Amino acid sequence: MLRTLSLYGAFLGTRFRVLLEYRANFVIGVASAVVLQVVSISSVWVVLQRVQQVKGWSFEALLLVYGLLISARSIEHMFADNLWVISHYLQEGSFDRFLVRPMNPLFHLLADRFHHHGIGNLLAGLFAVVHAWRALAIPATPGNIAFCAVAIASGGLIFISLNLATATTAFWLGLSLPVTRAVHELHELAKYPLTLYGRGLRLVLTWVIPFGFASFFPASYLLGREGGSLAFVGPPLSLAFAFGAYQFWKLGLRRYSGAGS
Amino acid sequence: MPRGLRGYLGFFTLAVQEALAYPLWYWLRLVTGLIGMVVAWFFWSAVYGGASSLAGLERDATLRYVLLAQVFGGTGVSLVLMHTAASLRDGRVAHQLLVPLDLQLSQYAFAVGDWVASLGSRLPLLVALLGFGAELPGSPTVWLATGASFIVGASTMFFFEWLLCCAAYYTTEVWGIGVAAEAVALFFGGTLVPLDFMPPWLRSIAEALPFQQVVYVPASFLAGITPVHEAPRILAGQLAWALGLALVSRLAHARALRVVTVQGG
Repeated sequence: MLRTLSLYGAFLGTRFRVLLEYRANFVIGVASAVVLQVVSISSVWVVLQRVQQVKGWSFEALLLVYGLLISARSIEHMFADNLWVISHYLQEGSFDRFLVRPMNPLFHLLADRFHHHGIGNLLAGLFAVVHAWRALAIPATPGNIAFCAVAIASGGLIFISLNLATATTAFWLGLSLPVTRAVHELHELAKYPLTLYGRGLRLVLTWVIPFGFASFFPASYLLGREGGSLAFVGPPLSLAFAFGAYQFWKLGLRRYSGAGS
Repeated sequence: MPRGLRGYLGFFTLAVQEALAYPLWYWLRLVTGLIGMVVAWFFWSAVYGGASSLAGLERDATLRYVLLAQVFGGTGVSLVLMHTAASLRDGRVAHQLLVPLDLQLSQYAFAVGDWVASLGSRLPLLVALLGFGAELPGSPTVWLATGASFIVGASTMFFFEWLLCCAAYYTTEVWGIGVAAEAVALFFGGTLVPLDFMPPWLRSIAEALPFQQVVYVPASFLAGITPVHEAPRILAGQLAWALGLALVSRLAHARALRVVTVQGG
């Protein structure tokens, strides 16, 4: 474990040295991610200027749902961004380098690219959560804070697991980006409370593509709303999804054959 | 057909062929559009609740608009900003400048091909729109106003992006600027919220910017929010934007070209 952490630290250090070679670009990249989230939040704010609440959810409550989701998403963005471009490695034959080094190929693939734009998403997400937390007077007990941290981490694991499973299809299809994008796009639905949707969609977002555990259920728990207790299913479910996705990855890896001689 | 015109037509055709070359991408565009429509429909239905009118907009017109915004959203983007930065980084700009065609016009022809292909590939979403219970107008004049305002609006955005891409000649990396511009365009363009919902001070900012032209203007004709008799006045305003930005962007680009550095050896 210590060796893994030390290796990750070495990868991260190298990546940051590369990124900070272009400091202005680094800052603009992080800032642009913040701007993108601010715009999304502003659109909800504009609507909530006209109506006091949407199906019983005030602006601050919606902000909590949104903030939890983008904080969880930022974990995938920062630490697993290379899954988006796995087809690129497979097509140009450079995937072999992840296989010939003395470390787990998946660990190597993920550690190879930390994406700094995720920092912007994390900042925006945490800001939204903290603002909503204060406005809604949620008690800042150690238990609630720990719950929130675990919910964000397990939400991040759900994002990573789904991206891993869909990225693995590249071993069969050659191109996985559209598949990853199509599934990932469903997280847009979880930016709002699941009670807005019909029963079928709610079931999908709870048990099939469980983005609800990255936003709606933890927010419901913190607000003492109905369904909030289901939030505790999130962490074990995210581990189960991660295990399943990793088994699928290993299956794909066995199918891999190099692109050239 | 004159040789030059044939060259530009080639760029147009190339864009259409590129857009249709990968069926997976076609389906992805449909899936993402459909997800956007589902989110918009449920969210806005909840916003209206039992109300029949908000911010001066009838419930049905708003629902029609937000669904149409998902059809138009993202189709009028040319990606010229990212392409220019990439060609500057890998040295392809040298080849582009040597082609005996006007660089801006050839990129414009490519962009038009891309709009046609991406809008065409989203036509099934109009059928999906009927599935949400939204009705579309039968009047050809409304469709004509919508089409014309989309093309002129997308052209305006092309020249705006062209103006931004001049920055690439100085920085070679414009990803951040591109994302920030996209975010601002999403908000002020009316993709996320109809401009009518904005407070007056925010709406006046939106109206002073060019972003509304590619989503809000065409979608509001089709949704019945903007009466079609206002089309001549609106189209004239759009044309003024497009021509003004075309001129400014050409001048800016001519200046930026002086600092071009071809990478590679």
